[in-house]
Amino acid sequence: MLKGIPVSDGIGIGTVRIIKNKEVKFDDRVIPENEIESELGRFHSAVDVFCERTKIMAEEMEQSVNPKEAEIIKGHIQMISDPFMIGQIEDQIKNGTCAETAAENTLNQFIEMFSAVDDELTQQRATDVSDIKKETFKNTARH
Amino acid sequence: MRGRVLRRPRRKRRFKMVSKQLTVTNSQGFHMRPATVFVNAVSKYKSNITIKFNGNDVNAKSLMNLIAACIKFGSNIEVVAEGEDEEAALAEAVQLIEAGLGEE
Repeated sequence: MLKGIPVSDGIGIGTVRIIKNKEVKFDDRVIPENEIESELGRFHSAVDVFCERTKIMAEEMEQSVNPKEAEIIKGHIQMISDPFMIGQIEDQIKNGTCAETAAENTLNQFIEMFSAVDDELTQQRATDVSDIKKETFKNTARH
Repeated sequence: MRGRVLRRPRRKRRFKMVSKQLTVTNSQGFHMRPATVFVNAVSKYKSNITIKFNGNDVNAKSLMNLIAACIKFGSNIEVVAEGEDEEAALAEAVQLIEAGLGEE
């Protein structure tokens, strides 16, 4: 029989999941007029894929991790669906800015706005916006 | 062209715009969750809905701008609605804020 001081509640066995945060590389170019439609389409499909993936992740989290975390990432869907913000990004694309840069410009603007407010909870939301920024274009390759 | 009556272009109907001043009474103010509840409720209206706060006009259908506006507990705000369903939009917006934006 072993004798000693227990230091942990027990052991856990499960599959390891490694989350790698790789930087999304994109080629920042001026979009010629005849490609603006498809660039807008690329932006919208990136948003759609992001929302879809986030929704699935939130549902998984609700069951396995904790509902509070799920609530936070569900908020990301609401944030990126903001029609006013989407309009701002679209306007830039219509002027020839590539989708990634346009989204980054606008999201950075909100990160700055949230960080500048003298309120801890609002400042925390800046982290959410920066997560959205990292995730949105992860799954869309330039064609 | 003689005898032809030129029809005067129809004037765009203007809405009178309705507004109400009130104080935010839920503890979190317009933070993530309450703001989401609010945006989802008012987005179904066609009217433009604005919250006047601290000298700024905040688009009430924009979650990001509402969060950035940092409207807290005790803030005095004015809700303004303008458009074809302005009365109903204002009524629901005011009712939601007064009821604490879904906070328990």
